[in-house]
Parts: sequence; structure tokens; C-alpha cells
Amino acid sequence: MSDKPKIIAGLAFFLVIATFPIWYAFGFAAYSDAGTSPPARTYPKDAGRCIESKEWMVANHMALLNQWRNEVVREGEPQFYHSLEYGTEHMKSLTRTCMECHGKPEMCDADGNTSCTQCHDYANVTPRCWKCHVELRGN
Amino acid sequence: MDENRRNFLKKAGSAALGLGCGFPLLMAGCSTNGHSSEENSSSPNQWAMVIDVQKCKEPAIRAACIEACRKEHNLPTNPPPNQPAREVKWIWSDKFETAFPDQAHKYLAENPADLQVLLLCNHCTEPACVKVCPTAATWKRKSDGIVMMDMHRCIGCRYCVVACPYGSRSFNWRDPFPDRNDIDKQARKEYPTRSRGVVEKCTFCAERIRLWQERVDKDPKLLESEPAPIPACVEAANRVAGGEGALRFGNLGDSQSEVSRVLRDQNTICRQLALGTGPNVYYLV
Repeated sequence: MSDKPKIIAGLAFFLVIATFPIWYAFGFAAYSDAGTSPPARTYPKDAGRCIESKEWMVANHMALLNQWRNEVVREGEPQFYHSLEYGTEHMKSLTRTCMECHGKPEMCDADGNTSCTQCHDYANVTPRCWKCHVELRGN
Repeated sequence: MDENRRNFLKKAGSAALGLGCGFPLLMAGCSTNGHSSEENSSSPNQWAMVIDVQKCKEPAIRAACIEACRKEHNLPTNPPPNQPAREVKWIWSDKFETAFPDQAHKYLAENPADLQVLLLCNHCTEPACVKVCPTAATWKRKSDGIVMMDMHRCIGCRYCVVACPYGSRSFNWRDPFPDRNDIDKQARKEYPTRSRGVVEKCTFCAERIRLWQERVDKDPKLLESEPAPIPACVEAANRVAGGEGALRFGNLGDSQSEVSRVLRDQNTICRQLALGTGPNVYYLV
């Protein structure tokens, strides 16, 4: 029975380590303000709009990008997307359609992060698009 | 009783023989049928290139082609020193004796060790790389015969690198652009770069072909001034003095295309024909 303190200390140490993600998220993160409020929305200066409604894009942009990727890269489908909401034609291209607007300086924060990056940081998602596709910064 | 057994054995033997011969024939017949219907359903278009080896003897022409491709497709500029096998290349230059080992006989007019030829993916009719790819990240495009590459799907297993008999496929051993902070200054934004661990190769400038197709679909009159898309290397070669027609690009399915005409009028050779991959890059020697 002489090992009782050692065992209890070991168990306590294990518990602290095992629950680290929980108390780190609720404990320490609360002291910092970063990442707790959604980034301010930015709009293009020429009062342009996105290819679909704002709500639709927020909900579906990732599925739309995946669909474009498959259609353009693999299936050789027509290059143009017809907007469901507005009926306009847009090229199925991340760099040439989305980033033409989302990469504009007025759509970026002071560090040159695009509105995509700001929102993805807030939502704690790391899409892998920018590992290859060229992201415009500080232009 | 004896005679019955004898007859039975005779009948059983001929039945076994019939089955043994008939099944393979039947199977072969079925597979031939399936194969031919599949081929009929695919489009007869096939983009192809004819390279004039004599014109490409000029180093400036070869360099212009290679550089144009590098810029167009964001290939890394700095191959690691002492590791030439890790260089990423889509179109490159090598000795005739390396490119055509079975043609480099000793009475060739030019020394096959000195003669440099431009090499690139052959966009084979029966591509070995496509057969081995476990994720279909590389495939033969039915509409125009290009052997395409989807970086999103490549898992970097490098079976295709081993399978390709032409050395046309490069593996990204490292991140080609590790510093992505000013990536828009290092790379052309219209074309993506690659991440570490994917295989890449020449796509016959599929992106240019697509844009050309769109222009032509909108205005068919353009076909007169622009009968075929112009890949970056062809464009670069045409710009160099004396390089006009060093590289020619066109559709083999169209008997009136420039490439079909050249192949009809002049004798050309291909790399490693005996392997049965059906290369679609032709060389005027």
C-alpha cells in the first residue's frame, strides 16, 4: 500500500493530459479574444454581387467548388456556370472567377488576408486549395 | 459392358476437348466484341505533335520551348543540385541515343551522342501510366486522346513513373514553392502550382485547348485563322527565328490537319514503337 500516493499522482497526471483539449479550449482560449467573433464582412467597391445569393454561397460554396473541379478537370464539361439565382454566366474557375473579386484589395484585411482566409480562420477550417492554386496577396 | 465403357470414355473425352477449345474461343470472341464497341463509342480525335529534329538542333529553339513551358505551367526553376532525377520536367532535351536507343546505329549521319532531341509525354494510344494508376488520377481523355492528370486525386504512389517507358512523368519530391507568401509574384496565377508528393507531366496544354475550343464553339469562323490550339512550346518555337514549324500540333482524326498532312508527306519515327503503347509524338529526322 506504500505506492498509493504515486498511483494517485500518476492518475491525476493522466487525467490532466487526457482532458487537455477540453480545458484548453474552455479555459485558456477564453482569455484571448482571437477567433471568437466572425470577421467583418467586406464588399466590393463597385457594388458587385456574388454569383449566387449570399446565403446560398455561405452554405454551398465548398460543394460548388468541388463540382466545378470535377466538371472542368475530369469530365471536360462546358466551362461556364449558369447562376441559379441570377441566370448570369460565369467561368468555372477559382482563380479567374472567385479570386477576381475576393482577391481585390478592398476585400482583404490589413495583413492582406483574403475574405476567404479570414472566415476560414474563424471557422477553424483549413482548405487545401491554396497549397497549389495561386493566392493573391498584397496587390 | 466393355464396349459401353469404351464408348462412354470416347464421348467424355471429346466433350472435354470441345469444352477446352470452345471456351477460350468463346471468351476471346466476347472480349473482342466488348473491346470494339468501346472503341467505337470513343471519339476518333487525337491531338498529336510532329517535332522536326533538324530544326530543333538549334539550342535556342529547344531552350525557348522548355522555358515557355516552365513559365506557362509554374514549374520550379531550381532543380536540386546533384539530384537530376528529381527535376520536374514536362518537355526536355536529351541525346538521340537515349531517346531512340533502337535507332542509334553507328552509320547514322550525325553522332547519336551529340544530336539533341526534344522529348515530352507521348500521349499514348495505350498509355501504360493509365493502366497502373490505382486512383484514376491519370486517364486517357476520350474526347481528344490527351492523357490527363488530376493533381487533386494523385496519391503519389509513383506507379505511373515506373510504368512510363519514356520518362515523361516527374514526381514532386519537395514543395516546389515552399514560400507561399508572395506566391503571386513567383507563379502565374492562371495556372496552379503543385504540392509535394504528386506526379506531373505534359498535358499538351489542355488549358489552352479548352480555351480554343470555347472560342471556336462561339465563333466557328475562327477555325480558318486558328485551325488548331497552339501549345506554349509550339508558340515559343514559332517565335524564334528559324524555328517556324519546328513543332507542329494538330488533330490526327482530321485528315486535313497540318499534322496529318506532314505525316502523309514525310517519313517520321516514334519512340519505342515495339512496346505497343502507341505514342502520338512523331519525329522528322
